[in-house]
Amino acid sequence: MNNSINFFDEYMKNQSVEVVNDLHNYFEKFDAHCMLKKSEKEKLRGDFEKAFLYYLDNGISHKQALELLSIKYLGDFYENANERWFTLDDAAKIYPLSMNRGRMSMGRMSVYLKENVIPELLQVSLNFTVKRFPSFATTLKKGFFWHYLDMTRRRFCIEPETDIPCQPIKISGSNSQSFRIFYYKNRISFECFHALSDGLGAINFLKVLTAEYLRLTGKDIILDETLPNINSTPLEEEFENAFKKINLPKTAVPAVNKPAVQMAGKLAAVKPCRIIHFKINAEELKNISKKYHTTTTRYLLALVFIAGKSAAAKPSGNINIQVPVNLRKFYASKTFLNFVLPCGICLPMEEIRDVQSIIEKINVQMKLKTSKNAMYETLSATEKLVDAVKYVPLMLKQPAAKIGYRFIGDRAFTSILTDLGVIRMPASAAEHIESMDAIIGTAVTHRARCAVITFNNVTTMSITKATENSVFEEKIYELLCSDGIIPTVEGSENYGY
Amino acid sequence: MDIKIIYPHIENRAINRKKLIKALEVPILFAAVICPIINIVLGGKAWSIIVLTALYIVHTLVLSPDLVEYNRISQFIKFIICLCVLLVLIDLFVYPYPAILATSVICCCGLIVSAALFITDLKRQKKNIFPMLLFLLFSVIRAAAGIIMTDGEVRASFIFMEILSITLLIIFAIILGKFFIRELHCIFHIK
Repeated sequence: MNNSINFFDEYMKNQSVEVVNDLHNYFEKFDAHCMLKKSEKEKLRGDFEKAFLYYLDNGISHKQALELLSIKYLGDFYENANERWFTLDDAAKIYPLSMNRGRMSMGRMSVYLKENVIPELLQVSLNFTVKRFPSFATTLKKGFFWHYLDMTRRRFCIEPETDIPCQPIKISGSNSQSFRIFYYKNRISFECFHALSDGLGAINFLKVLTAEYLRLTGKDIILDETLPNINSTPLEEEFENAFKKINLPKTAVPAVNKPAVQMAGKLAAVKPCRIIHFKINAEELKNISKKYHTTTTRYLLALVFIAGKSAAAKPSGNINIQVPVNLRKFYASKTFLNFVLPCGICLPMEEIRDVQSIIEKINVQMKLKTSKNAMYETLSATEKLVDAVKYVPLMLKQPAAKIGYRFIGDRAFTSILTDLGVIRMPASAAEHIESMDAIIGTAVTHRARCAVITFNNVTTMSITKATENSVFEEKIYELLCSDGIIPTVEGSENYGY
Repeated sequence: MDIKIIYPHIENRAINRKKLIKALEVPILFAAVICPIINIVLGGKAWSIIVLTALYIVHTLVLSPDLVEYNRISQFIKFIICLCVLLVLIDLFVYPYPAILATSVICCCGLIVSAALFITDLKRQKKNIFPMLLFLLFSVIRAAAGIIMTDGEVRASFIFMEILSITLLIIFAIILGKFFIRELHCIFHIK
């Protein structure tokens, strides 16, 4: 930081009076728009100085640099006192209750650009983006009955990627950052605590951040309806607890599923112990799914069932795959908070033989369990549960939730498959992006968890591993190959053995 | 199936740190199991309860600190409460002595120190008022109960504690003004 100021001051000495005056005016405006405490303000100013140096070193005129880094993009985020706070939505309430050291529900979205990331510009794009997502610019706090999100105005920082994906984030400090932005080669990754948002909220943040980054690199980004406008005022609906908008009878009883068969393999000491991405041509995947008279999600779910059976620890029992359902498709909502609920697709192991034999059963269950009526029941049960414990102090709820989650939580399911669907970006931005992927963090007992995302005709199925046993992913690969789809397999090294 | 590695190599240091914390938990767990067994076999006073409580305090304050709101005020208050619990348990199970007086003196000192920690870094600590507020409310209630149920010098200590905690509560409300109301709203929300 100090180095940057020194370099910047040195650089200024060799510039013309016009450049010096323009930059002086720029930083005067910056000072007027930034009311952070001194140390934060210096860091924020340092970000802009580094960006200027980058531009000037790369032959971009100071006028053009001033235009790209215009103070108007800061908005009033760094000016006002931080008085806002947000309640957690009903689906998010369980995450801080059930977390412990080493286990936190984390999610990660990554975008792969066609060029390597320039950290100086990524930092500035984050400085500009965060104002559009106030519910992300928060720190998790304890209340007497529930946790809540307290808005924090600070400089949010990017980091080079040096750790295992989806590691618990340190949110215990007074103004902690509840999300992380990593960069590595051509990849920008956004990791956040699930209490903040679901996959769609997170992907919106990443999309805006990426588009802003591309604008700063000089690309001409033409906005359309696929992307929230970074300079528009955040809408109240974007951080509403959408569950509260639905009129529910609160009569349904929360379902307690029997424990499902788990996959074999010793749980790794370090989780996730490996990340694997299958990159598949989306068109080919769609055609194969059509051949089975089903959708791509259901086809991939069938593969997960078969691979789950191959990797199972027991010869009999039920394989139950958790499938999160996006409630926005039933109840119109613009919320960036959580608005998903899970359903379980369950098949006895003896019925699982090949894709053809189970696809019809999956179709029937998916139609039934992800229907509006079924989700209404789940919503009602969730609301009833939240209502029942709302007056119980947090200090009592928390230990009970931790024990409950540890012993019941994810044992009801063998694995999870979440499909974020086809992600759209303005064509002017999409042309600079290779692909995207999504990763879900590990749970207590699940040996493998899957997330699917499609972008630019590339479907990426990511598997988060919690065991060294590789039967599951090898079976998925074999099944894809046997259907004529040869995926590109990418991933991480094995961590921590 | 060949996997193209697209993630950076992770230094063992980060992994070892996690392993170290796990390794430190082993002797604590061992002691937590062996002490009650020895206590039961040898008989006598229930000293193992004190050991278990002390181990819990070490675990919660050092090895597994709070995941949310870990700050100097919350940790200091947590330490004071743990200490009071330990003193009461020693009184009940090992060596009878006037623990009520000792704990009220410790609570008063705790109130003064935590209030000093709060006020000396008000800009940052004002967002950490929850543990302070809980401690103050707890002190008000405990002191009120003490005034009713005790007499003599013990009662005098509770009267001092009541005055101190109510005074601090009023001071914080005045210093923080609207922010105090906002914090109450956040802390006690049920939505």
